[in-house]
Amino acid sequence: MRKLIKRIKQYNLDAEKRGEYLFTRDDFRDYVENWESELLRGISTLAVLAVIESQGKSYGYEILNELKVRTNNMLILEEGSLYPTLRKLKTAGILDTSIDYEGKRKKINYQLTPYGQQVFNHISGAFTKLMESMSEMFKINVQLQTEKFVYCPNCTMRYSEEDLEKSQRYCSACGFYIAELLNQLNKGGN
Amino acid sequence: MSEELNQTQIVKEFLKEVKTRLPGWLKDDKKELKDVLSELEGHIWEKSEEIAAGEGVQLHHIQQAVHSMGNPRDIASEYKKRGTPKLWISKELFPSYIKVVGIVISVIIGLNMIAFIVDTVENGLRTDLLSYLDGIFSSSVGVFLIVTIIFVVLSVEGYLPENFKKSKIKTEIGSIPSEKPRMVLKQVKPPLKRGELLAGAMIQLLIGLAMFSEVWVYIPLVEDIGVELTLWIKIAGIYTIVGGVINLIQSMMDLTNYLAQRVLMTLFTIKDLAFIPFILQLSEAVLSVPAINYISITDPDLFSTIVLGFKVITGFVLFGTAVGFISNIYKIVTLRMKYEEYLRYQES
Repeated sequence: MRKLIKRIKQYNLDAEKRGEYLFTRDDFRDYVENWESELLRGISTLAVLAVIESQGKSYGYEILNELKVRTNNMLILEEGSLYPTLRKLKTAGILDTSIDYEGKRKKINYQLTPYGQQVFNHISGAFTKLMESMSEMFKINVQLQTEKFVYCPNCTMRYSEEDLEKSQRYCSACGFYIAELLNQLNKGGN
Repeated sequence: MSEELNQTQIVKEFLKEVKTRLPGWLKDDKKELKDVLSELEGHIWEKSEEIAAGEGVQLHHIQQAVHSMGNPRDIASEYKKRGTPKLWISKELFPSYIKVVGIVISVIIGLNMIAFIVDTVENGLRTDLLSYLDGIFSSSVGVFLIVTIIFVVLSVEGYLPENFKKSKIKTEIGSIPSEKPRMVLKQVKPPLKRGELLAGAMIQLLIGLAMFSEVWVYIPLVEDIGVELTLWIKIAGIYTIVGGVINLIQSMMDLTNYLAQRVLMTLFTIKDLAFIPFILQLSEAVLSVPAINYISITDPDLFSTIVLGFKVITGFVLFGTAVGFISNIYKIVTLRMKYEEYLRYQES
């Protein structure tokens, strides 16, 4: 049987004989699997970067476990496919590596480079604002943590208070004047 | 003890499966390859320990951990997905692609222009411009197709322009400040270089195609070389194309797959050997060219000088082929030794 969507934990084989469920249909499975893989391709990279950012530095196995825990087992990556993704991010200058040894075992830790941090701020800002703007369409509430982050009104680059206090008056991505965002952050508004 | 051996064996098998399918550029970068494999191996052992939940790791824990890694083919193919897709050729390789197509087509146009000018000077305005344009067009299409296929294959394999630049090691050694006299490492070159194989493949394919498609009909003075010589040159063109294809396959494969590389090198050598009778036939066929035939009647002395000249040239070509044959055999025999010597140099 072909590979099913990973997050589907159970699949009733009897149903295949009866042909009653959508998952017994090839066209449905193909469509949904393709859609999910397209969706996950971008999101998984962002989620991996989010884990690395929150941990400071992290290695493959730890990143996968952290992803499972923090997404409540919803975002499950094919374990072997994480490493090519990490390598690609390293080649792109977004991640850097350092090596630790645990006994004889070598661990390759990944951390964001300064450029990688900027990339992460931008794509996480874009993703967050997209989620917020789409929330109404799906009847869900997305509450932005406006006391922690603000977003460039022009390009959605994400800034923390610390970023803005580094006398940053113009958005590092698009050059938009953002000095007043610090006041918004202090007020806890967006 | 045998349990432990089996466990290690399973992990090694999995890593071997991945390694075999990794793209060539990654296999060439030994440090990167080592990191990639040790990362996967570390993951399997850690996962096995997690599955074993504090008890000793058993064989079935390892099997489960290996299974959860996914298909080795899929993992390896993920490493190939590099570069930004742009048509069929990646955005990163596109400038090099345009450059190569531009250079080769410019050479074709340039040669045809020179031929046209010479032809016009010799024959006046009777020269058939259309046949030149046709020649330029058909050669350009052929060249365009070959170069495009090569670049599409390189893009699919995830090559980036930096994979064809000089090795990092040389740059690092070169950049050490030389205030104190330092030990100079004797530079060891690899017996096979992907870039050289690829360049050789492209040159052979282009020349082979030119020979096969009778491009000389557009070149003044040699446009009429007779049926016999035309046939032999076309056959020589096929030989050259075969050589190009062998080099192309070699360049796309793992350079440390000694068996496969040796088989291909042997095929290349056999191709060269089989070419010897054709060289002899070619030298005979040259004498049947109408212009030379004409000389045999009008000026027998000049004709015998030409015959001697061709014999000397044939002798040189045969000598070159024999030397090439011995050199190829030496390369085939010493391939592994030379490559391992190169790897040791890289590690040092």
